[in-house]
Parts: sequence; C-alpha cells; structure tokens
Amino acid sequence: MLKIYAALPPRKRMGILAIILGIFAAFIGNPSDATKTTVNIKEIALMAEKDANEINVNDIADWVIKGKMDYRLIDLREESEFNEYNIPTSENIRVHSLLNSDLKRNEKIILYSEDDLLASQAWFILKATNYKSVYIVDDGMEAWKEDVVLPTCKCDTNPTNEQKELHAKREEVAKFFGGAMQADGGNDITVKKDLPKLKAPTKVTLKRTRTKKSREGC
Amino acid sequence: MTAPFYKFGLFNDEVSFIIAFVLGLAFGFVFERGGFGSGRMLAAQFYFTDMRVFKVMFTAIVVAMIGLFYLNWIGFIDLSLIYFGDTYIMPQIVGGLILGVGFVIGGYCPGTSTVAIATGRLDAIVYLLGGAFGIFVFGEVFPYISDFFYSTPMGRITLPELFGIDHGIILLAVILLAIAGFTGADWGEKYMKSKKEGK
Amino acid sequence: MSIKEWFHHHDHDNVQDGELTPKHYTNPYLIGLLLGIVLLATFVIMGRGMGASGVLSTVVSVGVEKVLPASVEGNEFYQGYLGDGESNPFKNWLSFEIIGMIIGGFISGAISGRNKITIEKGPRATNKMRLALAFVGGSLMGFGAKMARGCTSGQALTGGTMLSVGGWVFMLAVFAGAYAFAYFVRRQWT
Repeated sequence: MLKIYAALPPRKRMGILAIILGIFAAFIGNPSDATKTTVNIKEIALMAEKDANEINVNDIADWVIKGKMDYRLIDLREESEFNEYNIPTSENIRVHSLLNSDLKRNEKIILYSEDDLLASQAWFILKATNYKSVYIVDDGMEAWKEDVVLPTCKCDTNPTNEQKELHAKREEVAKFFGGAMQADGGNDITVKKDLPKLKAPTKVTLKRTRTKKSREGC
Repeated sequence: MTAPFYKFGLFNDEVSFIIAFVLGLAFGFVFERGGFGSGRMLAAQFYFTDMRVFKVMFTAIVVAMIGLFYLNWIGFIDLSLIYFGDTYIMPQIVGGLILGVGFVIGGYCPGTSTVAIATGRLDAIVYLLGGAFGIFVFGEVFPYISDFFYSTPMGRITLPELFGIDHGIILLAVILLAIAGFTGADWGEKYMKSKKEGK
Repeated sequence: MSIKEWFHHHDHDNVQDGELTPKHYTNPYLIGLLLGIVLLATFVIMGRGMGASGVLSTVVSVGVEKVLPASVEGNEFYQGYLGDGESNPFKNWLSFEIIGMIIGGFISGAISGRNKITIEKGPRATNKMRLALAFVGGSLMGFGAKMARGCTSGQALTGGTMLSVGGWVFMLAVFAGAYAFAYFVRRQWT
C-alpha cells in the first residue's frame, strides 16, 4: 500500500493525506466542546498550595474605587442574592454557566461566592479547562461585608498615626460602598449584620481600563 | 492552551508589528511565486485557462483548517480567541458580487495588487487608485446605506454552528469538495488547452 | 523617447509574450500549501488572519480627513479607521503586513527576473483600455470590499479557514460575480 502511495504524484499524496485527516476529524467531532477534559493534576495541586490565587477583599475595594477594570469579577451566587447586594462591577454567572459564558481564557477572572467554597470549586473547573488567570476572593462575600462595608473599629485607646490613617481610610471605603464603620460589637457573634439594600453610591460605571481595542478586521 | 500567543500576552504590540512584517514578507513572496502578481494570470481563472486562484485559495484554506482543527484538538490553541468578522449575509453577498466583478475587470484583488505593484505592474497602481476612489465613494454614501450595511446580522457564526453539524464533519466535507473542485479544475484546464491547440 | 512614445511602444508587450507562462510559476498546490502554513502561523501567533483592504481604507480615511474634514465628522465608517485620535491610525498590524508583502513580492519577482515595469493585459487590449478598466475595476473592488467588510485575503482566506458563514458566502459571491462578468471583458484578457 505504501508503495502505491509513494508512487503517486505529490498532489495526489497530499489529497489522500487530507482525506484521511478529514475522516479522522469527522470522528473526533467537536474538539472545542469540552464536556470532558484532561487535567494537569500536579500543576493544579501546586497552584492550590500557594496563596497566589487568592485576592483580599480590600484589594478589590481598592480597584473598584480606582476604576481599574482589567479583570472580570464574577459573582457565583444565586440571582436573588446577587440582586439583593453584590460587589459593584461584578457579573452574575452561575457555576454551570461558566463554560458557556463569554469568559475568555486570556482574561483575568476573579471569582467570589458567599464564602470560599463555591468559588474554589469554580476555580478548579476553570483551571482544568485551561483558563490562565483565575483568582478567588478570600472568604468571599462574608469578608466583603466584614472588612469593607461594615468594618468594625478595632480601636486601641492610643492609636498611632498609622492606625488613625488606616481607620480613616477604612471609614471612607465603607462609606463609598454604602456602609459604615461599626462600633466594636464585642464578642456578640449572633448579631447578624444585616446588609442594607444598597448599590455603590455613584453607580460605578464600568469603565474598563481600555485594553487597547486594536482593530482586527480586514 | 498557549496559542494564539499574542492573545495570551506572550509579546507586546511592538513585537506584533515585526511579526506582521515577517508574515507579510512570506505572504507576498509566496503570492508572487505563485503568479498572483500578474493580472493576466489572475484573470485567467475566470476563463478556465488557468485555475490557480481557486487551487491556491482552497489548498491554503484546507491546510490551515486542518492545522487549526488538530491544534485545537490537542489543546494547543483556543479557537474562541481567534478573531473573525461577524456575519452580515446580505451586505456580504452584495459586496462579494461587486468585488467579483471588480476583480475580473480590474484583474486584481487588494492583496494581489500590492504584490503586483511590487513587481512593477503599472495597472496595479491604477487599480489601487481606483480602489481608493471606490472606498471614498463608499465612505461618502455610508450614512445613506448604513441601514443596509448592518442588515441581516448573524453574529460571529461558523458553518458547524449554523448547520448543527460537528466541526470535524464539516472539515471532511470541505476537504472532499475541494478535492472534487481541484479535479474539475485540472480537467477544465486540460480541456481549454486542448481546445486551444485543436483550433 | 517621450512618455507618449514609451507608452505606445509597450503596447504589445504581452502579445509578444504570447502565452501566459505558467510553467515559470510554482505549482499552485505547493503555493497553496505554503500559503496555508503562513496563514496557520498567523492564526497561531496572532489569533487573527491576514488582511489587505484595511490599509487602503485607512489611507482614504486619513486623506478625506485632511481634505474634507466635514465628511468625516460623525461618519462611523471613517471614524472606525481613524481610531480615537490617540495613536497614529497607520500604526496598526495591517500596515506592517502590507509593507512586508510589498517587499516579499519584490524579492520573489527579483530573484526570478519577473520584475518589469509593465502593464498587464491580454493580446487584444490596448494600454489605454486596460488602465481605464483597471481603475473601474478597482473602484468596484473598493466599494464591494467595504460593503462586505473585507477582501479575498481577509474574508475569504481568514473567514473561510474559520468556517465563518459570512466568509464562505462572500467567497461564493466573489466567484459568482467574477465568472458572470468575465464574458463582458474577455477582450481585455484573452
């Protein structure tokens, strides 16, 4: 068989090779349709060990205030929870919709849920399908409530200048997001901090730091 | 997934311009090698005497298509990050027809005319001037035809998506069609040649 | 000799040539293979395909802006090519690609002795007719390319490879249009 193949003119050889590749491809079907995928477990395990995938809520607050928008902030909770309150500039995508969404593999994606759990699971799913930069908001919505919107005043009796500055800053940030600095509630953990229905005072316009939209047309 | 490299930030814009230049070099070189710098050669396609426009185009498409499919399959490239234009059926049909007429009258298309100019064809320069004029006319009437220009949009849609058929099967279909086309083209050329000699 | 004489002196260049000389050009299938590889490389490296008409559009847009600035205001089409005024509209990927193409074509022509200042036309055509038709053809091409949002390099090659519906539809339309009209200009080419 190979002799016959070798004897054909190059055109016909290319043609036959193309047909074989085509038939093979027809069997493969749709390689982009990734319901099954192979995962580099080692790589993911290593990444999980490092804290590099976590982002602190205060950083997020900072970025929102500064209008830095080179990332996609994804809220994984239910729609009702999202509508009640969400971190400004976030988008609501459920875990099962993640792979059908328009999230691109070269974008910076930040996930958060009520706490860490759902976000971590989503992180694994995205990482396993080769999304390059995926991060989790450390402690999710709970941390956001506690540290950013309704921070407690951990006031010493004699604060240093640094501490005073930090305190003032946290107050400002809390106000920006519609919350307020809380007096130190002591150890009363049962007092569930109810979040007022709020959006950021000035509807933070999604002005993405324009990733240079270079025209790719013809 | 590591490709497309540019989309994953492996290099910046400046470098991409150098790459554009190098790819352009290869593109232009190959074009001229294949005779696309000659208007007569290009026009011969439409008189069935030399079908190389069809052969080159479709061979290139098939090769690149197969390459992309398999690179995607092994997870090297992310096809969703590759740019291609949205589909607007009617304007593209009408535009294509007009361009086709222009092609056979003028003897070039934009890409080939640059290669032709590079090899000294004066008519290609005139052609490109005409092209600029045509674009100017388009720009001027654009406000009046913009409705049509944006009509029948289908978004970023591919043939597999449109027909609901697997990518791989469409690939095979295109390959078979291309080979059938090439066989027909070769036969057509021979026929025209013998007709000419027989005369 | 004067320009006029030169012009008419070369009127019958291609007739002496007689036949097109396809045997001096490389096998089209091999060319297609090479082109396909270049195209694939472009996709893999840049995540986009080739293109050509975009540069001409930029030139026209910049020109119109200088000469008739009123036309450009609020005209989406021109604005698209002029960008947001921050960077030079010519500083884009296509410009560099086109420069490469010109040089690449020149080199190829040079090494095979095909570089000649000439006017391509068939044996029955005159230079005047050819240039006039070249201009007409070019205008139609320019208009059609913008209507279809691309030319054969961009829409057909790139769109075709990605199996874009619009790309394939466009390709078919181009061939259809060209074949349909070929009869009417046969004097120019054959």
